Amino acid sequence: MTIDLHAEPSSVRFTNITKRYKTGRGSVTAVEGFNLSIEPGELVSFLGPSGCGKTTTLRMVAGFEEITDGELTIAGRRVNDIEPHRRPISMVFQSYALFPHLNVRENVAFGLKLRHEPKDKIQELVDSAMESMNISQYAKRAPHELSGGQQQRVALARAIVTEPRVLLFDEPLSNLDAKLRVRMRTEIRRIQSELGITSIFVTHDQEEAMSISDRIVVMRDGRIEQVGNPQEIYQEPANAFVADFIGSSNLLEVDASAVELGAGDNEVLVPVLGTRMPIRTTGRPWDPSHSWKVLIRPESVRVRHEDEASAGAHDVEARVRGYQYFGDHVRVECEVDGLVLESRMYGHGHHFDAGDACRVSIVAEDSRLIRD
Amino acid sequence: MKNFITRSSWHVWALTAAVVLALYFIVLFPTLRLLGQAFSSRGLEGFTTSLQGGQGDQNVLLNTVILGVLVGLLGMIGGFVLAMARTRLNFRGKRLFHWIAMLPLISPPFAIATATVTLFGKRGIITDKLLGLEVDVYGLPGLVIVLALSFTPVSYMNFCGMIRNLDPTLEEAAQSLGASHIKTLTKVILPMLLPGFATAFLLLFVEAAADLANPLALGGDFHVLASEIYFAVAGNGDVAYAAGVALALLIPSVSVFFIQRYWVGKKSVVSVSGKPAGEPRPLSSPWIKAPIAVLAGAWMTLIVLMYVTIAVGGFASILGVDNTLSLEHYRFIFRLGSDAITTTVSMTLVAAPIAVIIGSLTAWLVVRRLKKSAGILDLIGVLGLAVPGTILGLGYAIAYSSPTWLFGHQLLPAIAAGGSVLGGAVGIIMVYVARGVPASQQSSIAALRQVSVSLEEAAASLGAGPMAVLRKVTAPLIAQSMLTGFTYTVTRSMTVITAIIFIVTPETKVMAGQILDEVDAGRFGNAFAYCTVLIGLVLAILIATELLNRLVSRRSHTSKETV
Repeated sequence: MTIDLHAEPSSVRFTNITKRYKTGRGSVTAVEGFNLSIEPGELVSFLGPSGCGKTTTLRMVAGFEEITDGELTIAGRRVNDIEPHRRPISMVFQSYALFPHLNVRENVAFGLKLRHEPKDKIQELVDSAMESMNISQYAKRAPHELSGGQQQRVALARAIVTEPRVLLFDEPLSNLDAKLRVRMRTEIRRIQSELGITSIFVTHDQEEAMSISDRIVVMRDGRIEQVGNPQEIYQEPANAFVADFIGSSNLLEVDASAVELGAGDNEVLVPVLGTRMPIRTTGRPWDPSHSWKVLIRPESVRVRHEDEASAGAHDVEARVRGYQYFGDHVRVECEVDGLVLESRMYGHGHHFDAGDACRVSIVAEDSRLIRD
Repeated sequence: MKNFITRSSWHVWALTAAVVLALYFIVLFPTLRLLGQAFSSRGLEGFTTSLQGGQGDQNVLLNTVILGVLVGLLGMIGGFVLAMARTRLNFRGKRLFHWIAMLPLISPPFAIATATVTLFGKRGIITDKLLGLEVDVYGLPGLVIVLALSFTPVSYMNFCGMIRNLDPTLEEAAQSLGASHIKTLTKVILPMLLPGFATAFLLLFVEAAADLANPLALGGDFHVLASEIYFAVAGNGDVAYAAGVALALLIPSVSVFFIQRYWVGKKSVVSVSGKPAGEPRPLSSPWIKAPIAVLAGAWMTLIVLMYVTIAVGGFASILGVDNTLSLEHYRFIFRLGSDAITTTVSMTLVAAPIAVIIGSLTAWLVVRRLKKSAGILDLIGVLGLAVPGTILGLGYAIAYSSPTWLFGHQLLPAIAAGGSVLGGAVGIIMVYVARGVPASQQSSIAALRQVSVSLEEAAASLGAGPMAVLRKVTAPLIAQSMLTGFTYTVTRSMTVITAIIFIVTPETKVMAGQILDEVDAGRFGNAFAYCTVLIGLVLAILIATELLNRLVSRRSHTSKETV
């Protein structure tokens, strides 16, 4: 069974996908009960710490790992048992995986030649792919004569030239330096939306996932923790793990007995910094039988010198523990009632020294009560 | 964890079956048939007699062990000294040094033996004419020297690789911690090379204990197991008894081979994972440099002397007795031996590609395809080298000198020894292949382990099926190691005599066999001429291969030394 490769972008649907490896002593579950539906043309990132199963899931889509249980469909057709080379996918590898015995042009043409396309058609497609990736001038070079960024462009050109229905990225930027990484991810996003190819992008870098994705799948220990667009993932994290993994966060313990239901939907009154703050829960309603935490993003924590005028918000006395200057923002660590709060403030004019007495306030609207 | 490629596809199964079948016929079947004979009552008689020291008045088993140990020690030290000289001393002409050090590997077994007799024999040029000494090289001392010289390249290569992989920063660390040059050598370098010494000793022990050609030419009254086997077959036609003696030699040889491969090999502390952390630095202490330089110099001088003798000997009437210039020997070999030359070269050129294909496919199956059975296939593949040549040859004589039957149907006609198809050429080619496969397999395994699986996955994700991946990606990437396998098989095949001594036929003349005849008849001049031509041919093939390689892989980023 072969799927026509020249086709519209396709949906990818995971139904209860599970991957178990047999080991000497029983088996290890790498991915369990993975359910997800990716829309045609969508770019979805799999994000999580190493060992969370994101790469394994991607490799099951590529066909490099057999699916132990569940069903995987591409464009509505079950592909579980289809061999990798018959799947309508292309993959971009972390190591680029350029063929060292072929030059740039031959690398890009590899997939088309396998399909025995007519010569002039190959020529034309390869030219345009190299053009769009800005690598035409390296056509005759060997892969090892290129820089990391150039190699990644070749890998991308090679992957898109076959017009796959699904494009898979396995941490493609992790071998590049910081600046290049930002440039390449913009480039990848541009090409992906121009071509409208359904894409799955595996990364452990939350900033990369945030900047590039339509939706993010946050994974831990082989399970999905949350699926959502970048705003949802950042602002409404499903639990403490997601909140902690995405961005930096202050997570405060909650004494469940002191929590009262608040006025609005999903709003409760939580004792924070000596006052009862109205804070919204994310997703699920308040349930005192569970353990909860208050999530306060550092940018929601304001620190001011004791003698500065109050902005009117509720604030409390604190002491500066640490101060770091980053140019566009500063990071201040304060100690309040034995708690340590991290604050991030943009703009100039914030200067503190360790040991300074200060006052701290919190933007309650941006804070959330989340499951531990 | 293996990758997607473990999935079955019928091509892969067919290929696996073909490789297994080929390995079965070239090594496993002859070995099993030999064992069958060895366990017959006459065979067991031969086996027990050998364990008790043999039939004659000398203890053949003890002789074999003594010879193996002495050659192992001498060759181990020789290889170490030569390798240290090449990698850690500063001098000009390192390439030449390397080629000379490797020369014994590409010359036929009798070359050094014959030269030794001419130089150091009873009427030897040096011992008798120059020094007026009364020396008899026939017997143990001569054998030890000749075998050590012949097999030292093996341990030399081994040490070169290991010393190159030593992290030079470790030595610098030792010195910065206050270790003197001598202490650095004894406390850091030597301990790290310990597995190398063990490997060198074991490999040379097996080679020496199993060698037949030199004991025949130079043993005199000193008998070893291999010559017992030969005399049992050639003298008495007692194949079963010979198989029993072979078993006595097979057990220690195979054990030592596998101890070296699976135990000592794994003990290596030298990192072979990636690139060495820098070029080996030249030694600076004269107390270490001087002995190495002197010993290496002496060794090289001896080798050069041997080969000069061989080269000159072909053009002298009787070197050392009548030194007048004569082209008689060359006339002789081109008149009577041109047959042997063309046959040897063509059989070699048939065998080498086959060995490379089987070897690298075996490697591919072992590294990429098979899971649990990978170890077994690997083992069967290297059996062709683990089983001593004499014994493999005897196995061929037993297995293939009569037709092969399976369930009452004739599967194969007689393919080895006299009266078989194509004058026994098929059998000889199969032996060449069997001896070549392990080298090809091992170098390809090493190369494949370096090739990232993601390259093959990338090809698959671009639409290449398992066979296309193998053809378009995997094979080109291990081309260098396939070439190594090719050159190895060529040199082995051109020079081997031990493994085919029982299956050469009058119709299929082999150069090494012709040399044996000439040495036997005492016509050293002819032997020298043959040796020179043979070495020249091997070199020509090696150089042609290397040039071809440079031409083809000008673009490839992998550069490697051959030989």
